[in-house]
Amino acid sequence: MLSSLLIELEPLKALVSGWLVLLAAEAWDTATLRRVRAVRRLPLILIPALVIGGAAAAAWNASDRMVVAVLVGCASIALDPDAVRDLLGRATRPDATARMAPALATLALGFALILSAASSGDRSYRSLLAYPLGALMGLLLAGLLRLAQGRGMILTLLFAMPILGWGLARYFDLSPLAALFVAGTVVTDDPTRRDLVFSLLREYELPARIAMLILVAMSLPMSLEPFGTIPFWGILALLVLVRPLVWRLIPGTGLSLRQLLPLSPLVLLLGLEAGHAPLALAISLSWILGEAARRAPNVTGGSPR
Amino acid sequence: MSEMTLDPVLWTGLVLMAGALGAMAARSVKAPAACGAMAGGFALAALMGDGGSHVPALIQGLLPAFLAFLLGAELELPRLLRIGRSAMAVIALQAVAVIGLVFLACLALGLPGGVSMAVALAAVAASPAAIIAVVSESRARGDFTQRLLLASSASFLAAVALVELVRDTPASLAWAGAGLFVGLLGGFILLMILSRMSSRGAIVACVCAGLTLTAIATGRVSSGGTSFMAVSILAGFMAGTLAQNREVIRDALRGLALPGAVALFAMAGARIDPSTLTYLLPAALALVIARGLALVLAGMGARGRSFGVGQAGLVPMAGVAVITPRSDGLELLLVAGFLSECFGMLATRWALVRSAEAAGAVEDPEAWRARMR
Repeated sequence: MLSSLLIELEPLKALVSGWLVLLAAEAWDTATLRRVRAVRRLPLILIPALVIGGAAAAAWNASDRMVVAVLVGCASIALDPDAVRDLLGRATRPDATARMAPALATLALGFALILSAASSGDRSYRSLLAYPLGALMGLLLAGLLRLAQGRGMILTLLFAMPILGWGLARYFDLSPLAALFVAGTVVTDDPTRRDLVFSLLREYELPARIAMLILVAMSLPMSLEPFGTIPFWGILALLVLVRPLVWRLIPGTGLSLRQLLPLSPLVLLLGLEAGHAPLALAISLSWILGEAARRAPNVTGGSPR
Repeated sequence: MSEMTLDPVLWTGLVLMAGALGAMAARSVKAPAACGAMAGGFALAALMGDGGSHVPALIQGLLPAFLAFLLGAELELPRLLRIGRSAMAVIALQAVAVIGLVFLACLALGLPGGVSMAVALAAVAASPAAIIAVVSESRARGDFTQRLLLASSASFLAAVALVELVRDTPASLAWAGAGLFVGLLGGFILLMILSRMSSRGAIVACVCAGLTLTAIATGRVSSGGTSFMAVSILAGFMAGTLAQNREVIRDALRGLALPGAVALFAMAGARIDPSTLTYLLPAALALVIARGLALVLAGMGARGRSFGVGQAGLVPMAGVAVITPRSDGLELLLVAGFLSECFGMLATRWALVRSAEAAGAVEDPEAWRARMR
């Protein structure tokens, strides 16, 4: 019964997931990327991905180790920009580097979504076709958004595009996350509609996030088998314990340990989309632990919201 | 569309995009967006032929339920108490006339008596989704709009009750009653939760979650969801009447009326098989004409009890949503509903403009109404 219900809800899952992916591209316009020196920061961001991904490949002793390496590497840099911003707002006197932390988290999440393309399809250069597909969808959406009149019509297009984009990417066996993120970056660069589009996306972010979490929870494999395997616990330890430590060793990020703990909810889709059940469970568990750590009371006595 | 060659997600996305393009085209010629969406969905189905797929039933069931909930929430009790009696008399007269004329038309078309009666009963229903789509898009407010909303909800509820009654098993009646009870209970719980909310996103999330849970609980979606839609109208009416923050709820839901209507009518258009349309077109047209004639004649007969512009001869039929107990008449009803909703929405828009209740339709509504009188 649950599986048939999930099949019925597939378009809804595509809608809410695509909605959040488009929203993740909000700060990826050319001007902002130039301001935060994205190219210069890229090597910093890639270090945790390479270290954690490499370690995961070593721990996962199976034929699909490259997929696992890519996915765990992507998960390790998929920080939650909202959580970073929220925790920065509660800091007493953040310095200039700490104030750049949300921008870095946004960049990191974007790179994670872009790099996730490598985990799809036949894992060859063909998977890179997700980028041109996303760019084409972005151009189509930006063009239609310019023609659309009124809030209702813009919302209509914003409902249609994530589902269409998700379906097209899956039809060509490409990563829907990467394709839709690239589409979002194209829309971000359109100054005429940018503010209205992203304010609408932001307005329905909460219902989309709740719906996505419920649907992801329903889609997770109901099996205790992975819990008895060492690679599963190894990957969990990499994501929960080693990941924040590796990030802390990188200089100039401005991210505190507490800001590094939560992962973006989009990370939950990485394992599921790759159809890798143990990995999906490990990533989900690390997301839950990260959220719990974020909300845990401070040792100094303060209680986070 | 017998073969399933496309993934349902891709097909849903294609249908929605075709609907959005159709809606944009329709708005550019000042036609209702839902009309264009329907044409867009139909064009896609015609283009894809057997290469199409299906939109999951749950999504198809939830969209009309959402619009039905909005329709219920838009009904204003004080206004209804003032104008409801005269309007209800006309609606009842029209229902009798529709049943009689459509039944005769179906018999003349060669349909068996039982099927003819089922189709005639289903033809009583005005389309709540079509009416609310046009009303929301036109941002119409006023007595005529309320009469129109009342006509569509009352006739729909009556049709659902009649269709359930002609099902000769007591189990179906009991099941309908149980569904209604679950829906009302769900509506009451929803009302309790909604009255504490102020954020648009939270209200929308709450309504959608409530409708989804009710749909799963009543288990009616896969069988057409007419009872579920009726329940949604009642739940919406409860929220729009009893909740203290009813304006906030209405405002939050209105924001999603256009996307919801475009998606629903694009899917409805894509459900029509072009080959079926070709061979059923004369019969469906006869049905639509018989129904329209019945509405207008009954409206003229009750001229003293004013219903409004065009005596609601323009109310589109809910053929796409109402499932008759016998599947023989279903195809005919679907095609007739498709035609009726397309033309009906145009007529509803025209009537709203003529009544000067559509926002921005005329510069001086009072002078316009005086001229119309």
